[in-house]
Amino acid sequence: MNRLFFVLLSSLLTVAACKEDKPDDQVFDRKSMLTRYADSVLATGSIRAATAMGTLLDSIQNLRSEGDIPALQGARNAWRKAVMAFQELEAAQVGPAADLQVQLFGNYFPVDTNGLKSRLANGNWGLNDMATLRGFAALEYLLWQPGIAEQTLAEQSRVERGTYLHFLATQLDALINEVANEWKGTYKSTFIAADGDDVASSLSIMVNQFNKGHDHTKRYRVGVPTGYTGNDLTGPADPGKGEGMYSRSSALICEAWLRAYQRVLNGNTPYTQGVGLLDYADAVGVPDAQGRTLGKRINDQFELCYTAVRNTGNDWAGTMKTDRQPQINLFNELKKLLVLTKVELPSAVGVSISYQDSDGD
Amino acid sequence: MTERRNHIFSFSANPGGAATFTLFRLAFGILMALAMLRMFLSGRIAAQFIEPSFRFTYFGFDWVPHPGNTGVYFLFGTALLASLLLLHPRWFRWAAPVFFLSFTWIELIDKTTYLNHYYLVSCLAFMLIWLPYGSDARSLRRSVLLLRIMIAIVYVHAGLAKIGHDWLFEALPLRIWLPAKEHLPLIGPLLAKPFTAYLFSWIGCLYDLSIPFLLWHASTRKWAYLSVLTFHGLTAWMFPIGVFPWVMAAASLLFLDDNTAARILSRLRISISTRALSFGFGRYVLMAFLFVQVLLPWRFLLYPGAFFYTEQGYRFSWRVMLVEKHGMAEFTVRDAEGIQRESIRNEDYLTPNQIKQMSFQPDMILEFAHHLGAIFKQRGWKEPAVHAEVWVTLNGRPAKMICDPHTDLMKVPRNLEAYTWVRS
Repeated sequence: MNRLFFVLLSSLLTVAACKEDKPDDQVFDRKSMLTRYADSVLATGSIRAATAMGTLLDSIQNLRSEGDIPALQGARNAWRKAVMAFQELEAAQVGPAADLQVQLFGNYFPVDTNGLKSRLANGNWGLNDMATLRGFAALEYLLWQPGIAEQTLAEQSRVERGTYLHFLATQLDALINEVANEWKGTYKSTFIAADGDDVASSLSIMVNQFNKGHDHTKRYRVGVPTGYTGNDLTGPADPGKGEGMYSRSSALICEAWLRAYQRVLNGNTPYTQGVGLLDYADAVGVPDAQGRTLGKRINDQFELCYTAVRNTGNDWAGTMKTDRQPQINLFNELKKLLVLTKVELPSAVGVSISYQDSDGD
Repeated sequence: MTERRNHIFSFSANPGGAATFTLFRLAFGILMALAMLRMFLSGRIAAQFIEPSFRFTYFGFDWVPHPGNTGVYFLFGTALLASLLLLHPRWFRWAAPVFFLSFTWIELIDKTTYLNHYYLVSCLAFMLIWLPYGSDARSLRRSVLLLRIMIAIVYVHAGLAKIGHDWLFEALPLRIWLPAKEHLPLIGPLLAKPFTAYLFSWIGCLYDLSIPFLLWHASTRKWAYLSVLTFHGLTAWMFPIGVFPWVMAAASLLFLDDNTAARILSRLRISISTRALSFGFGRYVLMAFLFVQVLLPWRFLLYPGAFFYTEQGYRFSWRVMLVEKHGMAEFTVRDAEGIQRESIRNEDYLTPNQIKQMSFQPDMILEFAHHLGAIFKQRGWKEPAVHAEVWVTLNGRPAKMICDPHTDLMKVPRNLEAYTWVRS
C-alpha cells in the first residue's frame, strides 16, 4: 500500500517534470501579472501623479505672477486634478510609495491650521516642517483659507502666500517625482523577481498595502469626520478632521481613490484594461454558492460604493452636522468592500500573510 | 507464546532498543539546536517575544511570567545549550528536563506563536525526561515503544481530522494553497490544477492514517521511510512550516529496529549510550501522559457549535494544515453612560502577527477585548464595554460575521465553557 503512495508521488513528479515546457492556458501566469503591474500600473501611476503635480506647480507659478482671481481658479482646479491623480499612489502604496511614505508626507490631514497661519505671517517655514504642515492639505488651506476673500487670497499670492504655496508645491513635487524615479531604477526588477507568496513577495505586499490604504480611507476620510466608526458607535460629527473640507472636495477625492483602487485591483490603468489581482483570485479561487467569483463580488461592491459616495454631495462640512446618514452609508459600503478585500482576497490568492512559520492551523 | 505475540503485535517484531533510542536522541538534539540557532539568526526572538506589548496567554497558564527582554535571550540560550547537551551520552539525562522547561516556557509566553509541531517538541522533550526508564533490554524496548505510540497518536489524529467534507470532497484548503505555489519549479504548473489538490488531499489523509503502521512493519518500513522523506520533503519545500517536516523525519527514526539503528550508528562511529537513571516510576508518568494525549484531541466533542469557528478544542489536537482561515476584527470601547467611545486601531496594541492570529481565533479575541477593557478602566472610564465585529473566511467561503457585535465581551468570562457568543 505504501509502495503505492510512493509510486503515485513519484509519477506525479515525473508528469510534472514532463509538463514543464508545454504552455498551459489554465495556469495563471503570476510573473507576467507582476511584470504588468510594475510596467503599466504602478510605475505609470506615479508618472501620471507627477505630471498632474507638474501642472499644479505651473499654475501656482502663474498665480504668483498674475495674482488675480482667474489665476487662483486655475490653481485651485489644478490642485483638484493633482490630488485626484495622487490617489493612484495612495491606492497602491507599494515599493517607493511606501518607502517614501507618500500618504503621510504627501496628503496628511487635518493640517495644523495655526501652524500654517503663523508660518505664513512670519515667513519661517522650512524643509523640516512636520507632515501636518505639508502636502495637498496644506496647499488646500492656503488656496481656500476660510474667512479671506478670494480677491485677497489672489493678491496675497503675489507675495508671501505665493512664496509659501510655491515652497510647499515644490516639496510635494519632489516627493512624487522621487517615487516615479525609483520605479525607473532598479525597483522594478526587484518587484518582479519577488514572485513567491511569502511575506516578502510582491503579491503579499500588494494585498497588504492596498488594504492599509483602504483602512485609511474608511477610518480617516469617512469615519473620523463623520463621527461614525462602525458598530453603532456614533459620536459628534467633526468635519474639521476630514479631507478636502475647505475646497469641498471630500467626495471627489474619495471617489478618485475608489476608482484608482478598483483599477489597481483589476490591473487596469485609466487608459488600458489589464490582468490583475482580481483576475488572479478568480483563476485560483473558489466561486460562492451563487457561482459569483470574488472578483465579480468585489467589482459589484465598488459600484455600490460609487453610488454611496455620490450621494454624500460635495459640501460635507456644510451638510454633515445636520444629516450625516449619507456618510454613514458610505462608511458601511466601504466596510463591506473591506471585508472582501481584507478577509477574502488574501485567502483566495493564498497569501494569508505569514509572519512566522505555520502548520496551517 | 512469545513467537505468536511477536507475530500479532508487529512492534515486537521490530523491537527498538538502545541504538534506536540513541539515534532518535541525537537526531532530536541536532534538530533542536538548529531550530534554536535559527531563532537567534532570524531575528524572530525580538519580533515574537520582545516587541509585543501584550501577550496572549494559555488559559490556566496566565501565571507563567515573561522572563524579561534579556531573559528571553537567556531562555533561548538555555534551550540551545540543553539541546546540544542532549547529544552527550552522559549529560542528556540532565539536559532533557532543562530543555523541556526552557522550551515550554518559551511556548507559554504567547499563544500567538502556537504551532502543533512546537507542542510536539514539548511532548517529546517531556518524554525524554523519563526515558529510558530502565537499563535492561526490555525497558529500553518499551521506552522506544512509548515514543512510537506518541508519534502514532500524532499521525493518526492528523489523519482522522482530515476525514471531513472540505478536505476530501472539496480538496480544501489545498485547492486554495497549491495554486499559490505555481512559481515552484517542475511541479508548479501542476499545482494549479484542482485534480492535484484532490490527489494531495486523499494521499495526505491516507498517509497520516497509515504511516505509523507501515513504519512499524518490517516488510513495509523501508518504503514507508522513503515516503516519509518524500512527503515531508515536499511539504517543507511548498509551505513555510519551519522545522516541522524534519521533526517528523527524525521522529520516524524511532521505528527502526535496534539492529538497523546500531548499524547506522556504527557507520557514523557513534557509540550507543542510554545511561539510564532508572526511574522505575517513569513508566507510569509516561503511560498517564500518553493516556491524556489520546483523550485530549477529542475534547472538542464536549463543545456544541461550529467547531471551525469557535476553535474550542482545536489546539493540542494535531489538526495540521486543515483549514485556511483569515479574519478581520474591529473593536469598539464605550463607557457605561455612552458618553466616551473609541474605535480601536489594533496596531496600536498588537504586532502584525498578533493581529493576524487574533482576528479569527475567538479565545484570542476575547482575551484582547478584556485587555482593552482593562486599559480603558485604568484611563478612568466607567465600566467600559467592549464590542467586536469579527469577519472570518473559512476555506475560501464568503466571509461571515462570527460573533454578535452587540455582545459586551467584558461580560463574557474567560473560561472553558462553550462560547455561545460565537456563531457560524
